[in-house]
Amino acid sequence: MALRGVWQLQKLIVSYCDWGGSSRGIRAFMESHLPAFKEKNPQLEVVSELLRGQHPYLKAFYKNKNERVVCVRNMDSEEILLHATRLRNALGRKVIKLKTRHVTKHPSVQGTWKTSLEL
Amino acid sequence: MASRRCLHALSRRTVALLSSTAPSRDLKCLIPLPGPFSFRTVVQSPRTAVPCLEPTPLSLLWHARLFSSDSRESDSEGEGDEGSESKDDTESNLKKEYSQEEKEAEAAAIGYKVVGQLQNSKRIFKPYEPVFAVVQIGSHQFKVSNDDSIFTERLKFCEVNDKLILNKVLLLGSKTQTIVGRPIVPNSAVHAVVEEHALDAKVIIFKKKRRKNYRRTKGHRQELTKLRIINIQGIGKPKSTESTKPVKAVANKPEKVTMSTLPSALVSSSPAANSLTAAMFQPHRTLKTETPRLIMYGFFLPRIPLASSFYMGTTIIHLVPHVYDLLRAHISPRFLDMSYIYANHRMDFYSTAWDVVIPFAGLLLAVIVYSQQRFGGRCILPKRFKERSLCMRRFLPLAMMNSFFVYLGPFGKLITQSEQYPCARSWA
Repeated sequence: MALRGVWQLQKLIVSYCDWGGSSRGIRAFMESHLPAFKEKNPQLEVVSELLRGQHPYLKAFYKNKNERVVCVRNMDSEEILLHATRLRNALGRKVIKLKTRHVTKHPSVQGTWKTSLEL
Repeated sequence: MASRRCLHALSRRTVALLSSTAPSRDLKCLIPLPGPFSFRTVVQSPRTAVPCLEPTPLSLLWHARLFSSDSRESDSEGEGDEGSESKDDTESNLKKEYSQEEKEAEAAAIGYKVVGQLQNSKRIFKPYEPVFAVVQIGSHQFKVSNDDSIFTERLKFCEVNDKLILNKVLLLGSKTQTIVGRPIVPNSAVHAVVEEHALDAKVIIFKKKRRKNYRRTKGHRQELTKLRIINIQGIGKPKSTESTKPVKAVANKPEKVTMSTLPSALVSSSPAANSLTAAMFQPHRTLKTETPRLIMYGFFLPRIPLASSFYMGTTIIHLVPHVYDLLRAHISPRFLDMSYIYANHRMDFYSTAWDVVIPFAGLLLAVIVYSQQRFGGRCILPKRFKERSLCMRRFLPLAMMNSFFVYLGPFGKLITQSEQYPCARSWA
């Protein structure tokens, strides 16, 4: 997730609960994988928040003011790392079906073909 | 059933041990273990020489791997002592560890890409160049140009902000040239940067068989990689200076320099020229013969390396009527009938002086053209322009100067003529 070299994910909020069982994975993630994740992405601002009584989630804030929330309840720490990596790898664009797989501003170099074209 | 399976496996194991060069004491420890078999039976491998009377805690813990259907062959799997020998974990086939060579080989074979290095500077994103390439990634082919985005299937061995080189290039093209590969073009490369690894939107795969009570719903999100094309190598790119554009325009319209074609050919040049063409469309009879040449000199000045014979020839041709005028001033007969209004020198709308001025102006412009072509376009500009590189804006002063010459001409004529012949008109 780097548009022309600029990382698009600005902030990642890791929200967990210290009592609930659904936060077990994310608590393990915060001990095991989160420091390494922070080291690998110095441009990213990672914040851990305690939110008691709720299921844990990862909230991602992108440069195009887009927010993505991933609920990570009852997940292992490896799966949470996978989700965090996916959030980091993505641009903040809306997840809709792609129209084309090739986005270009100059579709023709040698001129668009016309029926009246004679080579 | 399970116990029968255990017994069966155990008997097989003992046969294997017997066939191998096991010391006899191993057999002894196998035999005195009767009774209800749990999965935690103790069997020593032939490699360890530990006396088997006391079962080690390790061997106690190491259990049903022997009896599971997966690992029949590998004895070394279960033992922690010999972990260094086992390369791949046969339990989870999902996380395969690739070596560097395997990675590169697979990448090159399947994805036709070689991972370069991570991005360092931001000068990589150049503006658009009119060059395209047809590149193949996996089984999909794309026609790419500079600064395009491409969504491909997820490329395994690259991270975000990595540089890739796509080396399966099937066709290269530019405005003037096309290179067709058989099947790939050698010595060509397309450079790209990985922008994101993301999931596509969810598609729901719904299966139903009617009246058969069968309905299935499955969601699927495809993993995609977005690449941004940076550079295409292997074909000559046109230079971005203005010297190329008018050359092509003139190449199409070689020597027919008329009023209609000129402005259309040079619409893309400086805005001063555009305003000037509007000014040029004044209905002056004599000027119509002069302005093509003057415009030609004025506009083509910085750019066109036309043959000098062209300029010389047109100058001579345009000089002829002026020479005739000058001669006529002195040779014409004294009295002429009114029907010979055009032969009468004194009835001319424009004075003879202009017959001298215009050719000299033309000659001056020709000299300027020559000096430009000889010494480069900057010879007339003040010194502070000389060091900088050629670009469109720098010729505006020169174009302005020349357009000044040309612009002055007809208006100067108008002014002088209105003084001399206030009532004479020659619009016939």
